[in-house]
Amino acid sequence: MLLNALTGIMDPVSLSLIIVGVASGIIVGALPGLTATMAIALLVPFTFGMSPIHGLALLGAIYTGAIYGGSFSAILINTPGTPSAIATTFDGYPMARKGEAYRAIVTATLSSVFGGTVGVVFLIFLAPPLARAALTFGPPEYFWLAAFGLTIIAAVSPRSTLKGLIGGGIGLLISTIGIAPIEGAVRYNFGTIALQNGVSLIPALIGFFCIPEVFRMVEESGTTGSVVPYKKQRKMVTRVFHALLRKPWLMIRSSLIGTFIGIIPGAGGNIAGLVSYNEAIRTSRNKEKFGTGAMEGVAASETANNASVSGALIPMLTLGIPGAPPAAVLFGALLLQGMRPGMELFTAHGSVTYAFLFSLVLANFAMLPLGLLLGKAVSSLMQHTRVQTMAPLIIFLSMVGSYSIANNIADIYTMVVVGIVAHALRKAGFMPGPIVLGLILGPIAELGLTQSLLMGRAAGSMTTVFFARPLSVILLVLTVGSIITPMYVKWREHRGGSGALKAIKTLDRSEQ
Amino acid sequence: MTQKTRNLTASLLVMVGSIYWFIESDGFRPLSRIFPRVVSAVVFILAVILGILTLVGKGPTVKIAQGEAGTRHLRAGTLIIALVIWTVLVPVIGLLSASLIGVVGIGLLTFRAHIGTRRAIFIAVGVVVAFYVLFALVLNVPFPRGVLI
Amino acid sequence: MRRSTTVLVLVIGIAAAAMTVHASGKSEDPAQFPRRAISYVIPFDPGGQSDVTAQYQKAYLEELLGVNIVIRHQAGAGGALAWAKLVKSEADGYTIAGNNIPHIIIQPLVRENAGYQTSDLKPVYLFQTTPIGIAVANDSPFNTLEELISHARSNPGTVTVSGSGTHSGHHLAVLQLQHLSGAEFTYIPATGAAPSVTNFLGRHSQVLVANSNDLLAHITDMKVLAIGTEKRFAPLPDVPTFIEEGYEMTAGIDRGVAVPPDTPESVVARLEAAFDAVSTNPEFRRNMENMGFVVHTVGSREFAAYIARKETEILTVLRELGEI
Repeated sequence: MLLNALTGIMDPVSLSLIIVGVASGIIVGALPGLTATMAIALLVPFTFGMSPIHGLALLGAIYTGAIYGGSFSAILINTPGTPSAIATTFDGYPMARKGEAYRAIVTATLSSVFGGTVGVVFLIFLAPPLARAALTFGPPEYFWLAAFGLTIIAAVSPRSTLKGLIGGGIGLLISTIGIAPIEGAVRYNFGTIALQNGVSLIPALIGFFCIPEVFRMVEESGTTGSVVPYKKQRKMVTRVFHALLRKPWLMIRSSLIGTFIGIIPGAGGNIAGLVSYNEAIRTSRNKEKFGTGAMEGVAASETANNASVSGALIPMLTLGIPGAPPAAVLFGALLLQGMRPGMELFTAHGSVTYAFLFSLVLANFAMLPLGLLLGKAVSSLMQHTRVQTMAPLIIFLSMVGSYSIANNIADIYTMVVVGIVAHALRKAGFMPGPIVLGLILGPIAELGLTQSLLMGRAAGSMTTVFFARPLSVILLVLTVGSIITPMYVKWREHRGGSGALKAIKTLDRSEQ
Repeated sequence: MTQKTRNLTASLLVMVGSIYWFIESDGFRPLSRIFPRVVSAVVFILAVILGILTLVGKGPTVKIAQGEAGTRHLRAGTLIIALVIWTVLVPVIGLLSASLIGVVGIGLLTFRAHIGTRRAIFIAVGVVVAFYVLFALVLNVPFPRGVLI
Repeated sequence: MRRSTTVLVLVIGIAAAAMTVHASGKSEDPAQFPRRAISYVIPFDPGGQSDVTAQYQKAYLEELLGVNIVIRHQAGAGGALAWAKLVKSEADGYTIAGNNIPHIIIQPLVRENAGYQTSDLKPVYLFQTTPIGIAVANDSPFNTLEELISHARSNPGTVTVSGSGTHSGHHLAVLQLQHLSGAEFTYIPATGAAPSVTNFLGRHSQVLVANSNDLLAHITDMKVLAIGTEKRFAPLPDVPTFIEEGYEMTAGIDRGVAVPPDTPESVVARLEAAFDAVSTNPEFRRNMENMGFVVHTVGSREFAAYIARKETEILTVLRELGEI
């Protein structure tokens, strides 16, 4: 059967579909305002007429390419092309400003290929047991995972932790607008129907990151008018390759984080990238370099988000429970082809399923040449694009992207309003990272909290529910550790003084 | 606005906001109330801390990218107005028309002396039309229409 | 400089004229319906039951009506967002939306302003139901519904039930069961069918209330104690109905299509005929039933009567349970 699958995917039509899929995925991902989920959703109807292998291979290739493509605009114009690239902006853009745009893109490419491939390997060999393990994630675990995610705020607000925390809090509060997860009450909608469903997440994310960049472009009247400088350097690929080779733990850890967070239903590429970035900082010997243009930041984020692609597919294929929104759309495509998730996918439909999985491997490999090629093309395109073209186009694409999700004009309004507010907040020193974290994690945290409270009430004991479950305890420890480590390090530095500082740093048990 | 004023304004606004959030939750049932209450209480306290620190002079300072100060605010303000007009026009004259006007407008706003603004705007217009056609005709997305499209 | 400005103005002028012409193709003769693509709005995210059903129907509908059917997803507020938009759309038949019972009945009742009234959605056709069943884990001590109920009665609030949504079909089923049996469960809603099943499979709740297709998909991992159909459910022949177990209730989520309130009768009839042809198509029926859906052929008038009946039923239950 495996042999069948292999030959099934090796025909010219499938291969060209994969290449076309990855390339279009990269382009869609690179365009700010257009997301992977949207791209897949818009193309599913077209796959109805295709054979299952072709249709799935195409969609899978687009998914893979798009998650990677988001790094382009993240690096070049500080605007994540897709939400999974949010963490890539933290170090990718500073690298670009330093003239290292090409190096950043090469890093993103190699990292994405590595992460994606590791993810697919897990998918091929360990899908069923991993999916079963994912089931042990219940409401308390989701709550602690969200809490852990919120501790990342410290990492993504290098300038002022206080403002970062406030920003995170604001994000959490905004996420409460709309229908409460339990009891269904409509909250904070200021009497309007439009806010009945709260602030739409993706349009808000688009507004948060894209619009302030437009403001920057408009305001900086003194500069030349073209976007970030881009110098191609020789042998960059080999150099980056060797640099990454020297950091095996970073790559492996990021892939694992990405895969596992992808597996958790409800947590996808965006959270994977952020958590991986945070962990890269936490375990690093010189944390200060993050945020100023450290390639490790880009590598951590991109490895994780591409690994999450396969991660999200694991529970989707085995249990019919998507690990992330794009996987949910792929689920619909599967059903359309008459294939139902579960063991029969790997037995009765085995040749199609495994062909799909192999196509993902091929898609990841295809990302290398395509990514580098397109990276060069996109970068030089942007090099020669005037701000007068870029700024309005970003706005237009943001509108199109926001609207295309649910065909709801209110999403355009959301995007614009959030964008303007985000600009004001940025001027006041409140960076978008923490706020966005609050927005994303708020619903997860609240749902987890309230469901756990119900469980606790039924079980008669809150402590057992929140603190006595093994997975919860692990996450709790991680959360506490994530809060304490930076504080502890700062405290030791203060006590140490410069001479002792070196000694302390060598004692530091970090993995890089 | 100095950094201090900004911090204080932010602090006050956040305090007001969190109080509103807290009070609004009075009408909710218990399970729907707990999360907003806890978060708004924490945010309130943090905002107070921010305010106090700023007053005492230890507030966080942030370096913001500077352009030429005077025109900067004028441009930003004009951009806000332009964005709002663009958005409001979408349901009135349709996405494409509003965007064409918006693109030209914002293109002019990002005017750089001696650099080919006109050509840049033409390119933007072309790309807008191309994407519109792609989405509306090929991908069947029903963009908002008004009197025009 | 003058010339290129003139050119620009001319181009924009021509474009504007062309677009006005294009946009004004709207006042159409209902007798000629349909002449262009129809938007089939799904009020939920892709991958769900409504979406899958629509995707299956699409090919048949396109053939029958001779135009493109474009499926759009407008998820939000449990469907209310899409329905609120529908009632404000042009009543020309080119925008139709999936219709879900009991959602469209419950939401306006329990929310201050859902954006629409149940009567605003003009029902066109009812084509599918997923009966709701109640299940426990394979190693659970309960083997019949009665055992579960008596345990719940003597230990009120300790039995956790996983289901999808608040004020949804699942929630309603649990409320009705509680009302009729005197048992008290702790209902733990999830934000969708898939998460609720995950919660149960991961053993974070003891009982699951779910749609028939989810029950069938995971049948080897659970014991289904009862199902909400009137007569036994063919794919699960050994499972008793709630009625058989002594509880006068049916539970299920019915799906159909609706149009804005003032849509002309001839347009509605045309759509009704098309959906009827799809629902009576043997291949379509087979595909649906394989997935665990029950196919219906209920036309517009009958559908409206059904909704009215359900409305009274639900109103009574909700009032008696103090939900409204």
